[in-house]
This record gives sequence, structure tokens and C-alpha cells, in this order.
Amino acid sequence: MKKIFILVFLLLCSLFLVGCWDAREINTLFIVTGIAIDKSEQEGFFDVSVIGIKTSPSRGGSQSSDDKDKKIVLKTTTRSIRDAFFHLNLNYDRTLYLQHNQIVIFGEDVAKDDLHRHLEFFVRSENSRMETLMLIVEGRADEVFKMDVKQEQNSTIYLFTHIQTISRRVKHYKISVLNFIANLLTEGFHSVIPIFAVNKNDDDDMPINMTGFAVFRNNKMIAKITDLEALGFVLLKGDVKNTNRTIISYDGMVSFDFDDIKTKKEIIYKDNYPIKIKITIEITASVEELLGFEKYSIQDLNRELHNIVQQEIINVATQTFKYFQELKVDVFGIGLSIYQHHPKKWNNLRNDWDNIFASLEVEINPKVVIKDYGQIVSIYNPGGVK
Amino acid sequence: MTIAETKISGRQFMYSIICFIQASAILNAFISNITYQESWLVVIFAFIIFIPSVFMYGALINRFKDKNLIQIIIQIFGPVLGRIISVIYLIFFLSITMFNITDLTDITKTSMLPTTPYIILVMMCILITAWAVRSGLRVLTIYSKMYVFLASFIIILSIIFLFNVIEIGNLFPIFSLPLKKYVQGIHILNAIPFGELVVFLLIAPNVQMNKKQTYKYFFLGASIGAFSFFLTVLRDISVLGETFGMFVFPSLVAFRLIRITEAITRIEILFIVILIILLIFKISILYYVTVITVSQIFNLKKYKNIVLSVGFFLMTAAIVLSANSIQHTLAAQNGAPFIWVTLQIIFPFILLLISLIFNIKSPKEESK
Amino acid sequence: MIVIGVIYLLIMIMDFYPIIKHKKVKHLIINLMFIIPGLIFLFLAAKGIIVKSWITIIWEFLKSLGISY
Repeated sequence: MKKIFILVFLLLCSLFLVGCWDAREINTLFIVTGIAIDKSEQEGFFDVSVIGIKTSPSRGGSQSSDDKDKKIVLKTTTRSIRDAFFHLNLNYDRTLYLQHNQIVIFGEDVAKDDLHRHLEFFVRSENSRMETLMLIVEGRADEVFKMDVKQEQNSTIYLFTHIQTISRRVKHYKISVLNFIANLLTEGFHSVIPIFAVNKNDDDDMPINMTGFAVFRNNKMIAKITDLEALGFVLLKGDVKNTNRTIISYDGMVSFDFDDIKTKKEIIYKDNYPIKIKITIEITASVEELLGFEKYSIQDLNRELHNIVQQEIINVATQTFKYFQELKVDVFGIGLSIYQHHPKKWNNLRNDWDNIFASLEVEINPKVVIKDYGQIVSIYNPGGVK
Repeated sequence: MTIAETKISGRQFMYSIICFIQASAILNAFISNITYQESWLVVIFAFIIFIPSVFMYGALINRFKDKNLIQIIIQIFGPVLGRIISVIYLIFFLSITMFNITDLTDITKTSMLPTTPYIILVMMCILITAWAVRSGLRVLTIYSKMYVFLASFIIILSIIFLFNVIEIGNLFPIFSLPLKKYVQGIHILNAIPFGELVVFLLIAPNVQMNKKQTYKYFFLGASIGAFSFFLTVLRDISVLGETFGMFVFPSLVAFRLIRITEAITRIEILFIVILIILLIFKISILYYVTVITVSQIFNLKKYKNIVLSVGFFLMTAAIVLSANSIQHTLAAQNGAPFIWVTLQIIFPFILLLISLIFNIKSPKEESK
Repeated sequence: MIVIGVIYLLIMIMDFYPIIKHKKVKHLIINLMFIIPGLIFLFLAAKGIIVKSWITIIWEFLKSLGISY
């Protein structure tokens, strides 16, 4: 009797307590893969665009030609991000589903104004994930959604794959919401975010280019760095798997791969006041392409290339460091390392750190090992010119 | 008279203690916004300060073999005063059971079932734990060993998976906060995961172990639990950095960051599953203790018949007497530890002292 | 909410049946001691009245005594 009672009870449980209370079927969801935020023409308002993928039952076989139609862009103008989702949910037949969002894209204007207010939502909301990537786009962010990407389903998936690929080599290209907020909260440290530009040229199928980094002082973008400074930044930051540089010298042209860049920073104090910073950059370099240099023997060539690359690194790094000193933003975490290791000293420096950073003397100390010349031992010289 | 009929082994007792601490450890939000990146230091200090209490509990267990806390209180203070004090303990046990139920439902709600009504979650939790409690202590603790290994495995696995985002620098600086913060942090930790071990004083008479083993298992259990607590805090701080103090469940955010290529990602469900298992275990121990206390106060011979009604009270009270989580945390950080520690550490110490001074012992082996 | 409460109470018949059968008055009284406040709480919850958190009440009491961080 008792057993039957329990059995009936369990059966009833499985009927009524199956947890389908908040069932959300996939055909009622709009799966968001990217969000773009721009300043609106209206003062105090923002244009929020979301891009998603069209979910349709799989038909099997090869994908048909209507792949391009798979992207859907929704757009609204509101005061805040949450408000935008509220609006879109009200005016669109499906519910926005944020768990699979890959990227948050900010227009340059928004970044120059105040990035913090937009991030609050992403931190607070249980639906958003902290490892969502962040990036800045020159001009307007919603331009990205108009791009025509051939290989991927939509532009944000393209961008996400792109960033994943390049960040395998240089990890500083990948800044997530969590990273950025942690950097904002960290003392003695300013953040950078990769900046992209939409390619307006119709001739090729490269829809977007990475142009460098946007430099932030707290929550405001104050400058952007490109080419040379970007390389210098990567060298000075260290902890990089691979990057490269082509150097043109008097004797010819040489392309290097820089592998396993490690940077050590040593701060020299005088009366508990930092006056100088010694930066050691350890690099394993390999020669990838070499034109000219015919007049050198193999031994001399090695020495010469070594000199060239050392000098280049000193130039690039010093120039970049000076540039950041002019901007008065410590993106290298020098203040942070003082805070972490000498919290007492830091208490006196904290308020005036930007100026102290600007007045630091810098000494760059490259340690380059050229380990690889590729498949050939001699100088490529088919013409036989000696 | 002991109520529970079955006896468990010393090892099971130890694993239960580990489980018990791991359940609270995995949450670790109570101190995160007080001591920030130095919380790992606070965990070490708090445990060192707690060690004497472990031996105090051990001494109390050994001195009153075959008697649980309530019986000890009644023996020392007499039937009337003893019962009044026991009622205070009953309220205390009811409260911590209630708070743990609230924690469990909160995390289930935020992470998995956001729109499921509160009462359904609470009821399921109560029914399952009631079932376990009715089956007795042996059934309750039999899986503790498995849970401990599972939880430890997942903690270690998460550290390996998060290795590429761990920044050791986040653990520094040390000793940069005002002294008061450390005191508060240590106080809270002594009250909330560690001090709650006082409930094992009610289970101890049902454990088969000699005097030496009592100390050994109690100490080992507490230290292994504390070590896994330390590991979780270490992992969360080194992964989250300055944002550690911001989140309600730092570990959940840390788990969400796991991404080993595209294959191993979004495995926070592992964390939630282990958390639910551990919390259910903890709640059932607390629930069991509450029920034992009730039946001891009223001198009942069997506790089974009151399990569900106590559960009914817990279920409704957990819903009505829980405000939002911020208030809850604030109160838990600022007020509760004072009362908790009094009941958890100071009062048992007084008991031990009185029994030593007046040489009160449990009567030698009554004829059964 | 009331429905859930009633379902729970129905499950509790499992306990009440042996109590009434063996006329255990003591058990009955203890059971009622928990069920009656439980019912009151249930009705409060169903009405949407959330009493201030128990732990907050303790905290405020301690604060008035000056014991708090």
C-alpha cells in the first residue's frame, strides 16, 4: 500500500515538476551575436544595434545560397542598453537571447565620451557573459553590421574569429568586458582596446582592418596608436607569442619574426621616489626574408643583423614609451607593480602618478637571440654577384 | 538516551565535515567585498585562529561520550534552564538552515531557473532533504566521501582549465588594508564556514571513534575543508583580479571564463551541479540537527514524525523571512557573526570550562 | 502558492496517519507548533507580504546596542 502510494506520488512529481516553467523554445528566440553602440544625434541618447543569426531547421546537405540572408540587424535609439533591449523585445516578435553574444562594439564617439555607463549592464545582467569581447570601431560602430562577409554567417562572427586568431599570437588584442573592468578598477594602470576600421574599398573581400589600439584614461578614450607605436606597445607589454617587423637598413631589407617576447621592468628609486625604469626585452628572433646584405660573410651577417634588430627595438620602444609619457597614461602597469610590491610607497605616489610616470627616465635593454635562418644557410644570391 | 539508532564510522564523519566546509567555501562571497584581493590571507589566518576551537569541540565530545550538545546543556544547567538555552540553539539551527536554503535557491534561480517560482525550488529542496533526514544519519552521510572527491576534482580541474587566465600578480599587494578589515574578515570566516561545525557536536555521539580519533578526524576534516576553501579563493582572486569583490558569486563568474578552444566552454554547469550537491548535503545535515534538537528538547523517542512539519516551517519561513540578497549579505557581514560566534565558539567553551571546574562527566555506561 | 502549500500538507498525511492511529498527543502538539506558524507565513507570503529578513532584524538589534562593524 505504502509502496503504491510512493509510486503514485513520484509519477505525479514527474508530471507536475518537470521544470518547464520558463520554457523558451528556439523558435521564439533571437540569438544575439553582437551589439553595437553609437552616439545618437539626439543629446543623451544612443543608437543600439544588435545583430543575430537566423535560426532555421537544418535541411541537411550543403548550405544553400540564402546564407547571406541569415543576418538580421535590429536597431533602436534609447538612453540605456537595458532600455534598448526592452524596446526591441517589445517591437520584435522574438525574445532577445544574450547568452551567446560574442562581441560588444563601441563607436569612437561613445568611447571618447564615457564607456563606463554602457558596461554597467553587461556586468550586472545575469544573461550576459563577462568574457564577451570588446572593441572600438573608427567612425560608427553599426557600420560593422553592414559589412559583407563571405565566409562567416555574419560580421560579428567574422570579427570574433578574427580576434581569436590574432590573439593567439598577441594576447593583448583580446580584451573582454571582464578584463576591461578589472583594468579600470586596478590602481596605477590604464587600459587599451583594439581598434578596427571598416574597409570602404569594394575591390577586396577584406571587410574590416585592425588599425591599432585605442588608449583609455579611465573610462575615456584619449588617443589611438597605430603601426609603430602599436608594435612598441606590444614589445613593451611583453608576454607575446609572435609578432613581426620588417627593417630597412643601408645594406638591404630584412623581415624578422619575433617569438616569445618577455619583458621585465625594474624600477629604480631615489628616496622612495621612482626616477628611472629599466626595461629588458627578451626576444627570440628568426629571419624570414632577407634582401641585399651581399657584402657580408655569414659570421658578419649574424653580427650585423643582431645590431640592426637591437637598434630597431631600442628605437621603437623608446619612441613608444615617450609617446605614452606625453599622453600621461601608464598602460604598462608600472604603477600597478609598485602598488603590488610596495603598497606603502604607492600611497604617497597614487595621486600624482600620471605626472611621475611622465617624468620617468627610461632605459631599454633588448636581449635578442637570432636562432633561425630558415631553410637556407647562405645569402640568397642567384645572380652570383659577389 | 540517544535518539539516532545508527552509528557511522569516523571516516564518514571526517568526510561530512569536509563536505560541510566545501559547501560554504564554494560560495566565498561573504568576505570578497571586505578584504578584496587579500581574502586568501584572511582564510589562512581565520583557520589558524579556528584550530583551538577544533580541539575544544574534540574535548567536549570526548568528555561527554554518548551525549550530544543539547543533552550536555540539559545535564549541566538542569532541565528548565537547559531547555531554555536549547531553544536558543534551536532558533539558531533553524536560522542557519533557512539561510542555506535561501542561498541554494538564490543560486539555482540566478544560474539555471530564472523564472521558476521561489516556492517550488524551496519545496523540492525541503522534500529531498526531508527524505534523507527521515532515512537517518547513515544514509545521510554515506555519499559524503564521493561528494568530497567530486568537489575536489572539480576544483582542481577548474584550476587547470583556468591556467591561461590566472594572473599571480592579482594576489598582491598584501597587508595594505586597515587592520579592522582583517579582524572583520577573520571574524566572519570563523562564524560562517568554520564555526558552523558546532552542529557536528550533535552528530558526534553517533560516531564510532576513540578519543584520539576524535581529535584526528575533526582536525583533518576541518583542515582539508579549509584547504579547499583556500584553493577556491586563490583561484577566484587570481582570475578575477579587482573585480573579485563585485560579484555575488565570484566562482560562478570564474567558471564562466573557462574556454579551452571551442570544445570545452560553458562548463559552469559543473560548478552549479557540485554546488547544489554540496549545499543539499549541508542543508540535510543542518535539517537533521534541527530535528534532533527539537526531539531532544521535548524528549521524544522517535524523530521521524516531526521531520516534515519542521520542513513546512522552514519552507515558509525561508520565503517570508528573506529579504533581497544585498541586505542579506550586509547583515551577514556586519551583525550576525557576533551572535553566531557566541553560540558556536564561546558558549561551548563555557560548557567545557564548567564541566572541567565542577568535574561533570557523562555517567559511565548506563545499563541498556 | 497556497496550492503548493496544500500539496505539501497532503504529503504530510504520511506522518499524521501513524500519529493519530497511535494517539501520540505529544507528537501532534509539536507538529502543530511548527505547522501553525508555517501556515501563517504561507498566508503572508501568498498575500505578498515579505517580513523583514530575520538576519536583518538581528543586525538592527545589535546595531542599536552598538555592536556592529
